[in-house]
Amino acid sequence: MSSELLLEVRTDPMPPAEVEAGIQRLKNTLVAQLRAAGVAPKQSATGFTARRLLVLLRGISGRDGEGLGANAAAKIGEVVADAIENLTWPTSMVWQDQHAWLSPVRGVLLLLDGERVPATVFGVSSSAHTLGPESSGLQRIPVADADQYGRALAEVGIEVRFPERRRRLQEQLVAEAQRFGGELVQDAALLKERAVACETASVVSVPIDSQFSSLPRELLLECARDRLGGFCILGKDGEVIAASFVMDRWDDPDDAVARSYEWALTSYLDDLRFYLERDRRLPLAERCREQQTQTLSAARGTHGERAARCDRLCEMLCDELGWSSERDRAKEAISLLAADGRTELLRAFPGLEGVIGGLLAREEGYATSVWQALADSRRPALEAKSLPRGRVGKLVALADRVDRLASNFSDAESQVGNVLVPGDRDSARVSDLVDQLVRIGLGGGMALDLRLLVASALRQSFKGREADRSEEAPLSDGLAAGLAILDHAVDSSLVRVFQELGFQSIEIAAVLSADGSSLLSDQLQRLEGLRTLRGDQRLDSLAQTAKRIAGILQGSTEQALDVALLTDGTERDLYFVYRRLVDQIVTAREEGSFTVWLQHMTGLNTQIDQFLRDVLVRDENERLRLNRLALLQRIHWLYAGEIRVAELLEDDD
Amino acid sequence: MPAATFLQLQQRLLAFWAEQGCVALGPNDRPLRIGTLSPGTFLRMLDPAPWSAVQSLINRCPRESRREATPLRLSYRHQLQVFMRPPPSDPLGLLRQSLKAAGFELKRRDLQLANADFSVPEVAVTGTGWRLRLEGLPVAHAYYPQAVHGYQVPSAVEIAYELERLVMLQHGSPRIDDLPWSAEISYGEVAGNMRRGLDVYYRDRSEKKERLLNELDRCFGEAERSLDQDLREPAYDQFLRCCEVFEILRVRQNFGPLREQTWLERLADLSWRCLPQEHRS
Repeated sequence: MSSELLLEVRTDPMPPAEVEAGIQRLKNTLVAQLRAAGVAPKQSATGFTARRLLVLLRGISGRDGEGLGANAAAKIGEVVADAIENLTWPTSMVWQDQHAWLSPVRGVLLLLDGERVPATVFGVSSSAHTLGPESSGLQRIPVADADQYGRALAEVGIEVRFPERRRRLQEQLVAEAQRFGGELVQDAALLKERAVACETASVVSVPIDSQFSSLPRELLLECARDRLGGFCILGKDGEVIAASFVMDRWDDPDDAVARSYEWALTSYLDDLRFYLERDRRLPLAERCREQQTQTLSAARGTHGERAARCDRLCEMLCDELGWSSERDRAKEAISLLAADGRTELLRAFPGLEGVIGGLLAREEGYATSVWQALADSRRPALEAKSLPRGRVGKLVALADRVDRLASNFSDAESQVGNVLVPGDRDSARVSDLVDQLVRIGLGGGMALDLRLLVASALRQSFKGREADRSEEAPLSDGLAAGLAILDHAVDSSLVRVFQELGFQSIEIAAVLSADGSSLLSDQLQRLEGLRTLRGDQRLDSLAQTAKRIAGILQGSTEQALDVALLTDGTERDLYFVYRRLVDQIVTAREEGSFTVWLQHMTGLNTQIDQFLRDVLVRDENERLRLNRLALLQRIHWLYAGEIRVAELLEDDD
Repeated sequence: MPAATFLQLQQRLLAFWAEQGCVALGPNDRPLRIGTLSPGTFLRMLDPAPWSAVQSLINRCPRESRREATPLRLSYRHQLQVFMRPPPSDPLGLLRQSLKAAGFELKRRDLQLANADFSVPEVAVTGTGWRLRLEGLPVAHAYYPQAVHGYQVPSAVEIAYELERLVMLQHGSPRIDDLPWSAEISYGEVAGNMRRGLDVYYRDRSEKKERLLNELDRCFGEAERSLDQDLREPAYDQFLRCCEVFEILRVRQNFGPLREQTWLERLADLSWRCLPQEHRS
């Protein structure tokens, strides 16, 4: 006979961002500890809201499938209390001077086959009841088993299964948008946050007063979202016509809640308009002039100095990429980069840094590429759709992030003297910035060597502070450490971002560990080529051969090839096949014709395999031996120069 | 229960917390941006001795100043501040009960509690707790102060209410000046002129930058002089004046980011020295 265990932990509201991962950790810990205690559940399910965590275990039996023993309840009670109390969280709250958890635990429902299991968690005794939602006054609800628990909560409007709750909420939001004859502005992050936070989520919508229709859409969306957690509804012409809000209650029978939301939203929009009008009084260029001498931070110097550094970086990028026609617009955008730094709007909506500058620039008639570059400059480049628009936007965003990256090391250095010892926070910031650089570079198809770019910015940054050092002097400890950290950060970031783009680990390793071009655009092209060959058995054979060649060449020094010394037969045949194919292989790869590349490589491979079968490379005659190594060294370049073929072996141990 | 006047709401909340054992303190005599700065709260922040108090405060927030009437940005407004050490076992339960006592029928409201972190940079206080929203509007918060300048705070809870917002929600109207202060007189007649005058002053008519900076320096120096004579309360009094001037300088955009940050750090350092020596080690 198998049993059912139902656990619900009720807390004061928890941070929505932590809950989903937390419930999985709780379930995994619980299952592992129960198994260790000889109690084996076959099925498990979880549910959560911001104030309750649910774990349901079914098919529980004792060791060897037997029933649970006489002391099972006591044992389970101990395991559950231990699993909950020892669960760790990224942040925790201390209450009653002795307990620490994500949020204070207020109640524990613990039933084994409908019977309460005695347990004490943080001084709270387990019970056989749960509580209703906030809107019901947290009414007490007796629970008999898991099925009845779900039904009882559903009756008071709580759907404890998160995906279902989120789906229903999305449906309600779409239905509301349709009621207004408009389209919902999708916002997955807000939907998730609201669905976690509200146990009895339902939607009220209010129209946007026409007096606000002239406000920029970006500001309206942010205002509704940031101030009231609202979703916007767009009309046929793309204007914001209404906003929807997620209530944590079932209904709003006399529209009292909707009316309050309406005047709250109107008040916030009124604020928005007030700030916008004040900010419009001072042109952006004038704002920038006022800011030139203001210090941004100890590490970054004044706004003027920052702009000059970013401008130099932009110039370098334009030269490197051959984007000379974008140079002037990029320079103009950089000169306005901090223009929104002291606007009233930015103080009110810190999340709109950059966007506000872009809006004001658009209103003042700057070129599209310039205002878009400003608007996108601060937006974190987290995915393809959030990359800066246009070449100017990408140039400005790259220069800004490279400058911030270099200053990050300056910050750290100033804290610990001349030696850079970045803390965890610095490392996270470096990773984040480098990830963004890689995404922007790849998204813009840039023929850019990121490693050189960031190293150059860092050297430049240190040069300013080590002016008395001679050019020949060895790198300072700080600079050397910074360069090493950046090198590592670029390596890790490339792997992460290429994985985000769907490339396999072996493909990434084959490209990144090769000796060839490290331009982002080249690396991407090689990866895309390899992707088209996925599953082709010939790659395995190539990889095997590549490993054998690498093994033979291990420890050998570079040798000159003397064609006259090649023996007739297999050895000379290999050389001529190599001579015939080498240009075709390189051309095919450069042109991105990877099917052709593979075909030629396979042709070469067959010849090499025969050579390795028939010819003794380690010949006793030293001249012959060194000449054969020289031949293999030349061929090896095709296997490791731009794509390290050996890495493509699927089950490489 | 009929919708309360402003004074009734304030009195109901004061009475509720008095019943919970809180000492009702007199009003503040220095403008405060936020209740945590109240001497009754901050100066006892690190004192482990039991202390529970409720205080009706008048806050001044230059950054909230506007020239037109607006229900959500009030440069001159009222707050009710509760500080309890040791904290009650269920502060959110008490918060709910207090709103019921103040006349809110919570079953008809959209009450949402959201976990939030708090910080008051002028005094380097950080904490964690919850923000309470009614119909989307933040109207109260309850938080556990966790550290002052990185030093752990003995267990306590701070609860604060935005009184104007609560009255507006009870009456279902954002027209704050028209709402009743008492049965006889409107809020606007009592507090409207003060707010309007301060809005204009803070935004456009306050003293010039140099004079404000001189005033900031003068008060800072006076606070230090008081500390040299071991007069912590008068020093803190000068510190609060510094905070007010600092806020005006900020709203007039007279600081660059670094200078603003430097002053914030100086203020935090000053506030730290106002705390009793025995609690700072």
